[in-house]
Amino acid sequence: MSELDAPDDPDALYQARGDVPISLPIMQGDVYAGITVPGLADELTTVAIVMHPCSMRAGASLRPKITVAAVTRYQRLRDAEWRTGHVNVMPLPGLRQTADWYAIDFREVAAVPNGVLPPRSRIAACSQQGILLLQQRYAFHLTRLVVPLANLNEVSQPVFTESELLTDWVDAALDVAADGADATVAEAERAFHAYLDEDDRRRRKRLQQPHLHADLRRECRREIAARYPSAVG
Amino acid sequence: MTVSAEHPVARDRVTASEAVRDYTLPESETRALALRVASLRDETGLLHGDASALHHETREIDLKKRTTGKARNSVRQLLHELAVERGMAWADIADLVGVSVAAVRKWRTDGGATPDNRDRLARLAAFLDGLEDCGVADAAQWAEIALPLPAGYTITPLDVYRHGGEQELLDFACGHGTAETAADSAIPGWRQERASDFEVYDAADGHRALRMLRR
Repeated sequence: MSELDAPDDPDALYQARGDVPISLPIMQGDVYAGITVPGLADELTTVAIVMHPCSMRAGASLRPKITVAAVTRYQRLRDAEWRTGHVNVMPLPGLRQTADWYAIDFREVAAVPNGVLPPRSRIAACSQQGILLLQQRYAFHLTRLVVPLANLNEVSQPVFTESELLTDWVDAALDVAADGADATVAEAERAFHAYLDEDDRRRRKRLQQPHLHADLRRECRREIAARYPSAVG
Repeated sequence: MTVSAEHPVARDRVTASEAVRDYTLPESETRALALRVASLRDETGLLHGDASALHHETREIDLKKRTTGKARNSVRQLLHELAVERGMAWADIADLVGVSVAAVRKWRTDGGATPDNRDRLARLAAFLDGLEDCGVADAAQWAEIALPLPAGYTITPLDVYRHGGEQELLDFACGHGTAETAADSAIPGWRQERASDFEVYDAADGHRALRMLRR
């Protein structure tokens, strides 16, 4: 088989570990600890979102159920082992910033109500590279087909850009917030999606055209600065 | 046919233009001419190589000077220039500088990048200015669009920059080189390592999707 990819540096798999900023939107590869998942485990367990980002939302809203997979302790892997075997899992070295390895087990999957995944139970958020590696392994697990990361990246660009701009928006809102953080995040997310949908969803349509993303980022970041002028970032 | 002085009758029947057309240089003269042209071609090639090297040298000096100027700005100003004025993605800025996105986000609030990382940000900003000098209207946008390579290859200018191909990218942007030369300079094995059997298309549901490449 063609080889799967492996990270040059395990730390590059993560955008955040431990204290994950609440401004990061829910995303494929997010890991939640202390979760009750009927049908997957009887006691509190750790899970990761495996649902594709495009399928997680209906417009601005999360779908009622999100697909997750169990995260369990796993053996350490050498680079070659990562590339040619262990195709039923996505290894997560350093997940808890210890020497232990964990892995997302694609054979242990369940759909859970989105309320089961509270933001403060999130212990890790994958980087873009981590998400692409997860997608590649999950696709291979399901189909025995190796899809190059560059192609997966092309397909995921709209989601990555949307996620990054949403994070900017929420960060700025939190910087100037007088209300509680949860209410601020919810309101900022609503305002961001309303902004994308203005003018017959003009900006949301541009998300699907990556060659326009630089211009969309400029426009959106200017809007953020206008709405939250005293924000730090 | 070669006109011969021994056959005056035959010469009378040949027009002046036909005489010119039929004229053949002796073998020694054609060989000499071919050698002279070959030599001229070699000289031109060497001159082109020297001029390219000199161009890269002078451009490197210019980039360093611009970088020094940019590095006088604060880290937050540099990030503002790259992300807000240029429209670059945080993930790309982090990747090109060689740090995590979380680190870049932290710099936005505390400005605490190391001097080396500040220089890398300044260099990136200087490079984008250099692209504009080559006539690229929207440098950040240009840098994230796939280079015009054969079907089955997705390599962006950002990929080439990440692997050290700044000069060849500027050559390409200025019309002095090709996309393939730029890719060769930074990612020598790209033809084997980056080949893909897939292509991206816009699916009926409005999202992007992958399908096998039709060759």
